[in-house]
Amino acid sequence: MTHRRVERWGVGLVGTLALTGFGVLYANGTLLVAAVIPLTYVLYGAVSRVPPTVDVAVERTFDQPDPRPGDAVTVTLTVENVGERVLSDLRVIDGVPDELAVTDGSPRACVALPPGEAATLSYTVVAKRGQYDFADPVVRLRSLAATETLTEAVAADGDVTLSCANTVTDAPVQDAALPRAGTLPTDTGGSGLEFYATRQYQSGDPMNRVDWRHYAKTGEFVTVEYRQEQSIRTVILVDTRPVGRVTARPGYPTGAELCAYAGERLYDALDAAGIATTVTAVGVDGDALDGLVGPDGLPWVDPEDNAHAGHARRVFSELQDVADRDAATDALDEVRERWQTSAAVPGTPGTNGDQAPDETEPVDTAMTADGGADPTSPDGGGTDERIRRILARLPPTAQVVVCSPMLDDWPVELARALSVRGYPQVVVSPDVTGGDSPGQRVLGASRRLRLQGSERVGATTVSWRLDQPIDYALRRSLPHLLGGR
Amino acid sequence: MSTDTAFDGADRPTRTSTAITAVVTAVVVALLLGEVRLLVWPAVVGSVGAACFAAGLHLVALDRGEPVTGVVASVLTVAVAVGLLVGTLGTVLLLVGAFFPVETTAALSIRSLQLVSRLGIVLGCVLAVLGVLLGLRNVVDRRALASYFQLGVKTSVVPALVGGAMIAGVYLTQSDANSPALLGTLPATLGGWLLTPDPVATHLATLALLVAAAALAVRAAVDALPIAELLADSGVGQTRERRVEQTRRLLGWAGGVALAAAPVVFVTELVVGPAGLSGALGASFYRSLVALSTAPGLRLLLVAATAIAVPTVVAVRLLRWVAQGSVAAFANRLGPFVGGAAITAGAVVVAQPVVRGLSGWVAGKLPAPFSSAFRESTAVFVDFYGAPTIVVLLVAVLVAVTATFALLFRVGVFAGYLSAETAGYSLASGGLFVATAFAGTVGASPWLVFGGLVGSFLVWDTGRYGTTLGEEVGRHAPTRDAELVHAGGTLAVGLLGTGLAYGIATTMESGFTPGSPTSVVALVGVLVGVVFLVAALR
Repeated sequence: MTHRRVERWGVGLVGTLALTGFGVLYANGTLLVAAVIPLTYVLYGAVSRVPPTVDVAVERTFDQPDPRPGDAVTVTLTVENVGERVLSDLRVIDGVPDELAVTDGSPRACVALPPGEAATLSYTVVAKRGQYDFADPVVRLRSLAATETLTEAVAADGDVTLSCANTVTDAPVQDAALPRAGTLPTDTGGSGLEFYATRQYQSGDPMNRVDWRHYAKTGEFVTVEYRQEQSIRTVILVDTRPVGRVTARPGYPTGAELCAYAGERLYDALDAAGIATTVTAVGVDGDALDGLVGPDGLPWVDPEDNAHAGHARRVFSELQDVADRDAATDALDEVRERWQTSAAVPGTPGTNGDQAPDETEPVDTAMTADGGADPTSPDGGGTDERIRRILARLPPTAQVVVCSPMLDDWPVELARALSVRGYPQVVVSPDVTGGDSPGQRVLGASRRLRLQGSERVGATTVSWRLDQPIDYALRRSLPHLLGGR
Repeated sequence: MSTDTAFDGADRPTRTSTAITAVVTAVVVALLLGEVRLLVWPAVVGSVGAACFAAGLHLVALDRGEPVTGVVASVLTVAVAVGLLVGTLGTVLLLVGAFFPVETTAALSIRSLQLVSRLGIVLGCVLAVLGVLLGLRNVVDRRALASYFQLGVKTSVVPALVGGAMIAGVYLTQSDANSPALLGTLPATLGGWLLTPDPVATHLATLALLVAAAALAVRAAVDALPIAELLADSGVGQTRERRVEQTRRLLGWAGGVALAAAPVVFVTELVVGPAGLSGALGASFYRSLVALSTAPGLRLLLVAATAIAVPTVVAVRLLRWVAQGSVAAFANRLGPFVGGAAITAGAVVVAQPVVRGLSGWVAGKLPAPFSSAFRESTAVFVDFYGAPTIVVLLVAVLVAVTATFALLFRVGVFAGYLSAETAGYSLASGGLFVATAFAGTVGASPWLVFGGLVGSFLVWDTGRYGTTLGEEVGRHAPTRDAELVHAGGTLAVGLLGTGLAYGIATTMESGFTPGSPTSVVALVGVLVGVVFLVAALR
């Protein structure tokens, strides 16, 4: 409890003196008599008092006890005067946690309360994944003449913690079954169940694959080929790079956060359908995921792992934390790393020997979007270092699900690199460019162009607007992943 | 969130308090000016000037970085100065015209006091308007005032330079019967000295100077222009070219040698004289030297080289400066100068009618002997310098006055008397208080005096309350009821004080014998006020 006294009405004395002086100088009785008025103000300031204690009861309620990420929650704070004196000036500030953004209304209010009366203030916050504790509201009382203040933090009854979680999935039950072969029918012939094509008999083909009807008709030996059943691994790649940690309106989840959320839901769906799913991500620092990050800097959760479901949960939770972080410092770190690696590249041919090293301008090569020139790669210098590491790690028969907000050209390059190597791919992208300002419209248009670019190189794209639940997007993408093209 | 810092914030004063202060100030100012109907117009002009000052300060404090705000703020500085001067000097002139000349010397002191009272009313009202407008958005702080001062200085540069050039032009082109105009003879003398000297003696010193100037200017131009880059680059960015380097060195040597030789040659020519030189060097050699040093073609070539090289260097440097900076920042810095240029152009356009009107009005207001002398001297002045020159210089002086006012305001206000948050409303209430006190001295009715005093305290209290409320709670929360309660309490106390004062006045007049109806009403009013106060405090 802090009690402070403010000397406000001291100017009244100055006024009294001034008026008395004027009255004497001009010999004016009115002014002399009018000197009483400032005196009454001085008296008023001296007499006015605050109550000795803060007799106020505060109660807080949330309108949604269990919101999902991105929902708007209305918080209502009720303040009641439980003392016996009139509180002519009661100011209250609710303890909104720093991470939650207030999008409507104000958590501050100033009211005048007679004894026994109550006042309410309500405001809206945007829910974010996690648990957030509201601090005690701070209450300040003032006397009527505003000469004394009394400040105290009053504990609020009612709701204190806002917890917001993803949808609950089944507990990860580990079974000892080996990973099953996938059920994706392929376009190559071999042993299988479904007829694919016939070819000439070669010695060594099994007898039960010879087409005897054809032999009966023509006397030639022909072997039937069936659609080969291959085990297909699905790899979920979540893009949480700093460029995607943006949002259309303050307080809402960022694009990277939504990608992590989508990746987690897809992982649950694919795991429940029995498909061997690998989880990896780009844009996350290796320090937090010890044991899951390989020497190439990519976190990798294999389905052969005994505890792969637990590891996957850990990865997704770390991704959502990372995606929540301020993008500015990470983006600067990334640019700094790029400058350091490209400064090690030798000077371009044709420069004079007497030029100083800082004239070779490494800035130019670093500023191209993730496309550092390196003539030693098999693509002739067109592939990013990160893409090369991902390609090196991918199993040969894998279908790739890329969850990315598509806010720069790197996912399109990844799609091109994957299609060149024959990996089927699905791109799931949340749309965080909704908005009416011209800049946001331009961003939305360039994002659509990138999605079209990915489709042109053979990826299936699923774009998900934020006002739809993610289930729509999942329903559109899962058939491609579960059943084939 | 600790209780100490929980309520810190920054927002403008709340709406209800601002509205109350504005309305009360407007009403009291209108009533007070009704007492001095003669001075309404200077007071209105002064208030408009105060509004322009508040607007300019607000635009400067916005700091949004648009050039338009700079231009508008600098154009407004003239209005501020006009308002200031008309409000003060105009009022004094009007009063002097009304009160003086006096019949007896004994009445002089009384008239002076009356003049001071009325001046005090007008100044107090203008100060009140200024304070309320400044407190509306709480823009008064040291940084904004310093920026405004710099804006005023930059704005005054263009009119001052133009005015100075016009005066120089007047002096250069004035010609009477005896001596021709200076400006007319200047090119001829300069040209003769440079290009066609007298072919009697050698003028090697001037030739050496010309050679030095041309060599150094061409060398600077070669440096500035991208000659080496264009010649030497074979595609990988070389910037050094052997021939260009040699040329530079040669030019540098030539310029240096010529510059060093010039004083020596000058002294030699002066001391030895043409005859001595002719004898020392031989007549034919001396004649060839004379021909060389006075050849107009050579000199013309050197002067032309200098004349082309120097503007080239200036242009390239200017282009580099513009290109390296951002256009937006450049435009922002240019804002006040553009405003100054606009003011100068406007001044030139309205020069004639302004000068005539102003001198006529001032002469009309002065007493008789001063008036005719003033008319004569202004006529001479205007004829010699011309009306545009005078008005442009006047505008420069006005802008300088505004800048000085901003500086004094900053020094005076922040020397410890006022804090940044409450400066506006403290000024407003101080102005109202002073105006009301002076109104009492010129014979206003007691109710006006009491009402004005209560109004000034109400403005002061409500203004500070609204500012603190805006900082602690902000404008978005609904705070109207609490503010009305607070203002009502202050008003009730004021009414109580007024009742008390009136009661005392009537009691003193009637010698402690209550009985007249007005004193009974006053006592009832006092009781009612006491009841209100007790209820509010509980």
